[in-house]
Formats: sequence, C-alpha cells, structure tokens
Amino acid sequence: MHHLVQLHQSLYMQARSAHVLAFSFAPAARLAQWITTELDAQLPPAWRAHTRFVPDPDRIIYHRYGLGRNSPLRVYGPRILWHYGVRFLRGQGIPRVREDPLQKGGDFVVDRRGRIALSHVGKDQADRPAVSAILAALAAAA
Amino acid sequence: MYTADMLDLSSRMLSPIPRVGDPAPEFATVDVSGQPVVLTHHPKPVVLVFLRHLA
Repeated sequence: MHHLVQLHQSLYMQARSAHVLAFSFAPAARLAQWITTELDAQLPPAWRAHTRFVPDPDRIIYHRYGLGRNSPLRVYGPRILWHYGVRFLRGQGIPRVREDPLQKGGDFVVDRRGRIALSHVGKDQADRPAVSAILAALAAAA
Repeated sequence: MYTADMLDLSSRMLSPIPRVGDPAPEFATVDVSGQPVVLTHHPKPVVLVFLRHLA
C-alpha cells in the first residue's frame, strides 16, 4: 500500500492527471472492503480521482503481464524479514496476509501508442520501482 | 492450498513479461464498481500497478 500512496501523492503534488489502474488478485468484494477500511485512511479520494481499482481474482491479467509466483525463499528471505522488522519497530505491526503471499506484483507504464514505457517486476515482495522512475516514464510517454 | 495441477496450469498460462517498447498486452474487464475497463489505445499514458496481497 505504501507504494500506491507514494505514487498518488507524487502525482497529486505535481498536478499530474495520469490514469492509474491498480490491480488486485483479491475478489472484488474483498478489494472493495480493503479500499474502504484500509486505503481510504491513507490515500485521500482527491489523490486518486483518475485511479480505478480492478479485481483480477483469476489472475488472467497478471499472467498476461508475466506475473507469476515468487519462490518462498524470495518471499521470506532476509530482505523481507528486514522490511517486516522495520515495520514492527515503527509500531506498524506485521501485515496479516489473506491472499497468496507468493504472487508477484509489478508496475508498468503504457504510452499513448499502446507500448510499454516502463516495465518492473519485483525481485521480491518489497521491490517496487522508484516513484521518480514512474514519473519519468510518464513524462517521456506523454 | 495450491495443487500441482493448479501451479502447472498457472505456469502454462503465463506470458513473457512485456519489456520496454513491446506492445502492451490488451485486456477488457470491469473495475471494482462493475464499470468496464479496456486497455487498447489510450489517449494518455496509463500506469498499471499490480498489487501483491492486500495488507
């Protein structure tokens, strides 16, 4: 969620009206509940005026973008344990995982010609591209 | 939770990761509100964020 918040904050602060499609492999009802109970508190609706949330419980679109599953070693490797340790020390607790913890995430920017302008698939569950890289790809793709 | 058959099916359906310059895989689906979402040619650049588990 932190990545999603950072991205939208940057887009909002820079007055970029980029369209964002945020996919989840959770069922639609669970995604809708998460938006209401978790996301609304951290991501003001004004920041996500151009964002749509898309459930993909069968992972059809995930698979079209090459997003399979990570190995357990990557998911629970030292980098993730460190990430969770930092969360714990900050008092943020350890997230309770309901969905498949091995599913990969990723970020892509599609330009107006329908071509990929940025492609990033996380090496592990904490790996996301820098928001600045997404903004640069958006600027180049416009 | 996941059987070998399910994992095998998943791997067979997995497309290559699209690289910079590749055509973006197109799709048509619905968003969480039930409104249609289609990615073909878009008048503006669009960011696709594929979330991991919700937490």
